[in-house]
Amino acid sequence: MKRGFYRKFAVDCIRKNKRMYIPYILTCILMVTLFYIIQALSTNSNLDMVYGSEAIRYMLKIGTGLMIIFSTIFLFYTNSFLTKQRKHEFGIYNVLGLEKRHIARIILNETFIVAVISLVCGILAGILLYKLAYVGLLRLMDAEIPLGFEISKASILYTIILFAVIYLILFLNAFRQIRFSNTIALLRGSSVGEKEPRSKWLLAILGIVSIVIGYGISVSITNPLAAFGLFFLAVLFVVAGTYLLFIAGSIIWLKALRKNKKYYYKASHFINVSNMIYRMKQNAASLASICILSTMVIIAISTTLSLYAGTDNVMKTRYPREVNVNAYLRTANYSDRYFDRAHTLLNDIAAEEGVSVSNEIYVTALGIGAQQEGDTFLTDESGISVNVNNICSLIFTSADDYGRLSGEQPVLDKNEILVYSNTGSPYPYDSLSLMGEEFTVADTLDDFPEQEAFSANVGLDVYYVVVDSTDTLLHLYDLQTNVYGDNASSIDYYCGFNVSDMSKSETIVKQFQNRYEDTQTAFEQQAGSGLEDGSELLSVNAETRSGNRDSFLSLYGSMFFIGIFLSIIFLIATVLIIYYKQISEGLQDAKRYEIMQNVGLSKENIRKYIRSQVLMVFFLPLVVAGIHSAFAFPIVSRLLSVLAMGDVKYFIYCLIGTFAGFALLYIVIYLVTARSYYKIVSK
Amino acid sequence: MAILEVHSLKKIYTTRFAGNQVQALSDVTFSVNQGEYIAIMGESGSGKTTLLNILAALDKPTSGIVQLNGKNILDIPDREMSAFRRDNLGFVFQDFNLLDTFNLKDNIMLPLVLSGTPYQEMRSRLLPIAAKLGISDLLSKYPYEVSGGQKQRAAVARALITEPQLILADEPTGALDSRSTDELLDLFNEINKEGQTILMVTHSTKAASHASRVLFIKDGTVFHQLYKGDRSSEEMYQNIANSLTILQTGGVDR
Repeated sequence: MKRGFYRKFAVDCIRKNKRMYIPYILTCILMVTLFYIIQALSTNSNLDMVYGSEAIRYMLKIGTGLMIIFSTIFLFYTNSFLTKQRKHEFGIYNVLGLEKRHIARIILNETFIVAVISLVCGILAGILLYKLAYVGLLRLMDAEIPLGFEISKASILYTIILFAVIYLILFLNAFRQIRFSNTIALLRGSSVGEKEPRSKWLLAILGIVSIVIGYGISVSITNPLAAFGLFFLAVLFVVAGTYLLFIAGSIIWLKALRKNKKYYYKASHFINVSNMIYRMKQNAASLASICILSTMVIIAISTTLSLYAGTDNVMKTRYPREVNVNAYLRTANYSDRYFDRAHTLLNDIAAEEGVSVSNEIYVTALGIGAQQEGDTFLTDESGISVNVNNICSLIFTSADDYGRLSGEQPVLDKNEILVYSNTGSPYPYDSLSLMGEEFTVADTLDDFPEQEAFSANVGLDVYYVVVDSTDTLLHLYDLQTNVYGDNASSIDYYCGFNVSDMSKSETIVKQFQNRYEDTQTAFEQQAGSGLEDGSELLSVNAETRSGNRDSFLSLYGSMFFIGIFLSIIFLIATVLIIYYKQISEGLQDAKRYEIMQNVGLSKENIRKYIRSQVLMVFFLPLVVAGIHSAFAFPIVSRLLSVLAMGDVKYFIYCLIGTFAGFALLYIVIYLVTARSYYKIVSK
Repeated sequence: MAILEVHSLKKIYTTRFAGNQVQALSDVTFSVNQGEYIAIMGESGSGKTTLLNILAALDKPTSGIVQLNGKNILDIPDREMSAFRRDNLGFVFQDFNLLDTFNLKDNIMLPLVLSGTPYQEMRSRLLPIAAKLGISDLLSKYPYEVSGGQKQRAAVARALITEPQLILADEPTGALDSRSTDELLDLFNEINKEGQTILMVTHSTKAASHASRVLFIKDGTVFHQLYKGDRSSEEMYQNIANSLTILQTGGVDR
């Protein structure tokens, strides 16, 4: 046949089927756009400059992964709907003398045209919208806004490759549908009754197992470092499990309902259960997609919102007082006067500025990481089995410091200790052994004052240990430098207070930083210059809470923005699926309801049954999304604790609030859908 | 005793755009006795389908009366209509109108389920009917798994299971091959003999020749009627064919 024939024919076909093709092409464009934006954002190098970029990037990476899964499944679904509707048309071509390989070439050309249109339009729209999203993000972070359009070539390439593969799969699937059906079957096309789906027990069991593993990971991981590594794995398990369970489990469940004669032969159940069995075969995948996307929306918004809303709380954790000085000493050659000097200097400056000081605390502590086995704390890094769940943090401080903080001066003999555990239950053993030292637990404490001052809050189990004297502390420091070498922790000193005049706090901090340098220099002259790895023996860091508040707000604000942005993407996708469900199902069901009306089903009842059916279809994903979110809670709150969000209270509120808000939005979508579905059906 | 009485039925459609009035039925009057088997014949556009829709209470006439067992069905309020239709009328359609989401058993039981009949009773009604119609073995099959004749028999079973006053059949043989047509017509005769009243709208002379009375509709009125009496189906066939010839060539009323 003449060159260009197939291309012309394909263009003609698309034009003739525009009622179905236009929504399909729009869907394709939207998928490409969304994918490009999220992919480009996740690889944007400018993000690195921001504190917390790791978390943002991590979130975006997971979003990208989900978009890949989602785009593939969704386009596959819409495309097979399209092919099914057109079988009749292909049947006629077949009768009129086009062989199947010719039809295949037409389909190939059509697919190619759609691919080119959607990639070109989608990427262009993506570049435009990306700029918009990026500018919004930068504005929130108070960063400079670059001119012109940033075009990520790698992302374009990645998008093209991904969608080329998806379109190839779509073409092969359409070809398979045509290839394996004969002309008559094609002519009958979409009017052929669908076979009842079979129960697939194996898939359902796999689905359950997979979800249980995912939930199990979330619930059992107590260590935030491990949580980072395993979060995506848990997400994958749950995603796979959800698809399997919706596809196989729903049919098994519905068939069980049908077996129950008492239940099944009630008018409303009768119609809904039988309809749902058919519906599920085509729609299980899209319902599962809705479910996963909803979960993502809920988690993305609630985490970022809780960070944003909890900024003040985070500030209190990171900066216990308005004026904060941290000093780190990396030598056992310790003398009180370097820390005392910091303390007096700070007070002197405050007095010079005419500011009165309140709520002052200062404390010296040593934090050691170890792996707990009963009452023994192992520090051997080369240990064969490093169980991340057993890693904990021991914070040592002296009896004097504890006495000053708590107001009760304890009396301890050498090798006697007091222990406070933040795990919720008191330290259960009589002794504590660390690096060959044996301590006797004199008492366990129910509470420990000013925990924030010890900068230990990274979500690990923490034991606060009070030892008899500073000498013991120094001895432990010596021991742990032998074990950990360059990784050894420093002796930490914290001093902080609130001031009567907040506007002076910045000045106090600056003055302190300048004037303390003399002390540092003096120290280095006496103790010799820095360590081998170049770090200083004594370093100080002075900050104010109010001065850091803005930068934290902008950081969490920008994360919130990304959370909302991701949610919008996922919401658009959800609405799209619902739109497709409407078209495809409404048209199919119209005939069914007409028949039922003829045998005596009243309009009122039709409305009632439709409502309960749409309700079931709609709220199944929402309920499962709620369960997913609840099970995501443990692991996500561990991740948040890394970002210094120690208090999960905010996260709980935000999670519940987000879910409620999302459910409300969802109900609106449901009401609109049920109405228009009824309109299609009752025509 | 007349089970169905139709008095001066009139139906005028107004087309939506031009506002033209089309008279589908101008003046239809006839009555059906208990146990009768009536066929209504007429060309396309003669008003057959309109008449059937009005009898089925799916459409409302412009004027006139339709009485079933002495009750004017036009007076029944909308919300009771579905229940009335379910309890008193059975339908058989040209394209079967079976739901492919149900197997044959559930399709047949559908009207009973809709009226809330207990399962045991549905079952005890279903089994004898299925046996009579010869579809006992097919009950667990789905519509797309059986032949056209079998589908139509299931549809007849669905119409019979509510023990309706009247069965309304719209071109029931229209989509069947000749063997299935014969089987279905024999079946109709059989259930008619058991006392079931049947009203059938058809194009097919052969189908009509099985009925005990044939009404001919032309231009919206009952133009002519034939009683079968003692005649055989073959003789009846010839008479109907003659009548149709007269009807279509515009002959004079006999």
